[in-house]
Amino acid sequence: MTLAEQSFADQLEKGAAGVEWRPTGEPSFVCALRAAGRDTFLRTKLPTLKHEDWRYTSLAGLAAQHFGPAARALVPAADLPPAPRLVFVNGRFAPGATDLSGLPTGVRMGSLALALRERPAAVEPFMGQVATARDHAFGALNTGLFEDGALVELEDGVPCAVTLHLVFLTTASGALFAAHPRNLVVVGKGARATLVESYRGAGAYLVNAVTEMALGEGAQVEHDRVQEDGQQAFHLGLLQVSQGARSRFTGQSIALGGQLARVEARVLLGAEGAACDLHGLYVGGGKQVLDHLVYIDHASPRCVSREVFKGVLDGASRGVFAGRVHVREGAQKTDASQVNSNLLLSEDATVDTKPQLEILNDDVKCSHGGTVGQIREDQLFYLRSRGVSEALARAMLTWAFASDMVQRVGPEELRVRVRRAVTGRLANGELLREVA
Amino acid sequence: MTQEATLRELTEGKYKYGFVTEVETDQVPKGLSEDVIRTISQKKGEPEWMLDWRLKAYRHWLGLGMAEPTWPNVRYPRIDYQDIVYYSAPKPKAKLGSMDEVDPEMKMAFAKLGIPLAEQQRLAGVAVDAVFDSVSVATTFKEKLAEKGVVFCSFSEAVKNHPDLVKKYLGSVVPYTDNFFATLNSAVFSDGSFAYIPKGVRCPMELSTYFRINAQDTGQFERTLIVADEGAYVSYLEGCTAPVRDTNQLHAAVVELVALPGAQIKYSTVQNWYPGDADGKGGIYNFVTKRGKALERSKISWTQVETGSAITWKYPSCILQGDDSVGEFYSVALTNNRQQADTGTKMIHVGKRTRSTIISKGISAGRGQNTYRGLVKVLKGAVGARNYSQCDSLLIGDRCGAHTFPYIEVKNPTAQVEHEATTSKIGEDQLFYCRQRGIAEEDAVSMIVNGFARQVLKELPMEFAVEAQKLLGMSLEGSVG
Repeated sequence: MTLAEQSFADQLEKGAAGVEWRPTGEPSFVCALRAAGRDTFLRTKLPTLKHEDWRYTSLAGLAAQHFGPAARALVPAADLPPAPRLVFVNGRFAPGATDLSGLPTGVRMGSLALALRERPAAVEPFMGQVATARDHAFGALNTGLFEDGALVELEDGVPCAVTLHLVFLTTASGALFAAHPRNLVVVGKGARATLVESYRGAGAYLVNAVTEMALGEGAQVEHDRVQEDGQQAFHLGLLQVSQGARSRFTGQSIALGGQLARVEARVLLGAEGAACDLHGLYVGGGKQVLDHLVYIDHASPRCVSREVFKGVLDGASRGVFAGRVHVREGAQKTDASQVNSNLLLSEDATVDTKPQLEILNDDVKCSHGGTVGQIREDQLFYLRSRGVSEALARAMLTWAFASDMVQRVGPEELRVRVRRAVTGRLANGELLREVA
Repeated sequence: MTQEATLRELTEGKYKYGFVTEVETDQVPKGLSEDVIRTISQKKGEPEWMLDWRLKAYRHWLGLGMAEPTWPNVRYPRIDYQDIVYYSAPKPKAKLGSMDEVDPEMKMAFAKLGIPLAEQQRLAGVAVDAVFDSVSVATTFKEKLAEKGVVFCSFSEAVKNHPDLVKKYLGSVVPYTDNFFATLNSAVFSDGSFAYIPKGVRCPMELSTYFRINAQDTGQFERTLIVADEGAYVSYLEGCTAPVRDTNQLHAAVVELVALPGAQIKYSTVQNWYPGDADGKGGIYNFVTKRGKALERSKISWTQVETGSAITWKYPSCILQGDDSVGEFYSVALTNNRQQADTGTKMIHVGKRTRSTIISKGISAGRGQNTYRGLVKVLKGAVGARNYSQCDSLLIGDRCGAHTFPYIEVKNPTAQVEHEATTSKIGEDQLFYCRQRGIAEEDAVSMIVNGFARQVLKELPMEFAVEAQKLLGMSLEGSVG
């Protein structure tokens, strides 16, 4: 066993004996989930390059570390998004920084751990029912070790106009630790919501987040996931979405931070007429590894899925994209498309991409595309011949490539923030202030 | 006729090449051991170094612990490697000097397949090295080729007559440690073809071999090696049909191509082995390793039309080692009934300004499962590498499957790599358009699918294009014109 596996195994075992850090008084279904998670992790251990889903992302750097339980920490100074917001620090609920003012009626937001103590019946039908990826090591680890996370509930038919913010702050302190935030979002029939998950931090640590989202019939959710963890951090995120009939899910994933950051989006189009639209942007520099895995399970007829993921890679960074569209038998009239484009800006940047289609049905319209290239000489020449400096021209073309992903971020203040963060990470990005 | 009925009629056509030729065969007992390998080597009168190479491969294979790769998207019962006859040769009638001496039954077999040797000799200008169960029985046009200095013979002859060339290039592209099936082949390969085209020579005719699997329970382990010396050009055709069988037959071939600087090799395949019946009973298991190594300014082009076999596992690949080398892969793969195909290519860009093109067309009907699996890898030194891949799938019926698994790995920023794929069923609007203009249903289906596969079929040499269309038609008339 590697050092990391050993440290997680220790914590999982201790947890089973009900030691201090574990929230007490958990209902039996949670205990059962935790036990199953523990068993799965102890059996699967950390995935290696031999695992098809991990063939391009090595966990060797992570596996060589010892991770303790998350340290208690004060709320760091950070510019927090407007209310209503839930704030978590090192995986623990931070009531002081949380502000639920302006929360419309029919919408509930709060600590998951608290809800598990006070009204477990509301959680039981959903928790662990959406995140069903089999033998998922990090999902299982999260289930075994989570302390808290957000519970967001929208009653049937509620059109929630305000943006709901979930903020996960992590501050490194002394020994390396792992936080395992666990979120559950339940959206009732015909309800509408805009939800933002932000991950921020500084220093070295591991965040292993799981978000389960269940969309009722006709529900509409826009979800923005912005990852700006510390440059030394490990970020692992699993987003599992289960969609009801005619529901619509729009997801954006912006990945900027972390020495190793992997986001998995797994969407189950489980009822007729559901549609999902996923976008992603990863901007890597230094020795970062930014990885996205997207799995769309077309299990019902007449569902639509769209995926567009873009990568900008500089320095010696690595971009990884694995997309899989699985059209099951009987999922007639499926319409799926998938695109992954990558821009390599330096000698040492690399990209590995595998956009996959698995189709067990004939009445479908599916396509996928993947491209890898650099800034085009003719475009550069066009700008240079019009007196634009080379540095600005490169920055402009890079921004032009990435900007449509940023434009998709719904809430205005978040879009501004993301735009600033993305341009800030581009070489000569400061030149773009006027343009972008 | 309704569209459904047409499709059913066309997709459920019987395999038209099913027959068994009864020729006395000279077999070694079932199973695999060092003794069997020694026997094969001895029967073929091979020199010591060849036997040593086989034994090395066999020992390596044992080390693999019978563990076949499990990653392909195909399902089949476990193969018992001790239940296979590893060598069978038609009982020889001494050396054959002319066509008249060829076993009449064998001639009949070729005639049924539409490859009458005698006619081929007169027409076409195609030299046929007919492999009938592992041993070459007739080789034509040899003198004409000899004039140009082209060596085209069976692999066994090459081992005897051109040992230096064989020693130099055998295993240089597909080493005996390459993969499970290539290792097995290296240990027990029976025969195959060898071609060497000397410097600057443009081979005066298309080289061709017809492989047939005949004796029951005989795995065929062909080994083909083609070397095009500097500036040479050769077009090689390979076509296959096999008779109806109830027991599954294993085929694990290895093809190695070496294109020296400035050379061009065009390798075309039409594969139509017995696919098994409608319930998936019988059929050939086809596990093939094909790879070419391209040096400076050389070009390797693979074209394949895969309509047969119960299982196809095949990835003709190019190692674009030299600067400015070019790799191409054109494929039509058709699966019907319960056929499964997991096929594609690998393009490894090593040299500067290397270019590759991949065009893959998969057609699935009945309960067929068709998988494209391809790798485009651009190594760090491959400055200015360029790849374009297109993989399209056509689905006919709601119980078949089409899968696309491309892998793209880029380690050089100047590389430009594009991949695109589509999957769709036969367009009802297209059918309607044709029907509206008075084109019969089956002609319309034929036209549409013909159009779908056209990009690949046009890459085949003339002589082959006709046959390819015929063979495709046998498997799915009207689907691929």
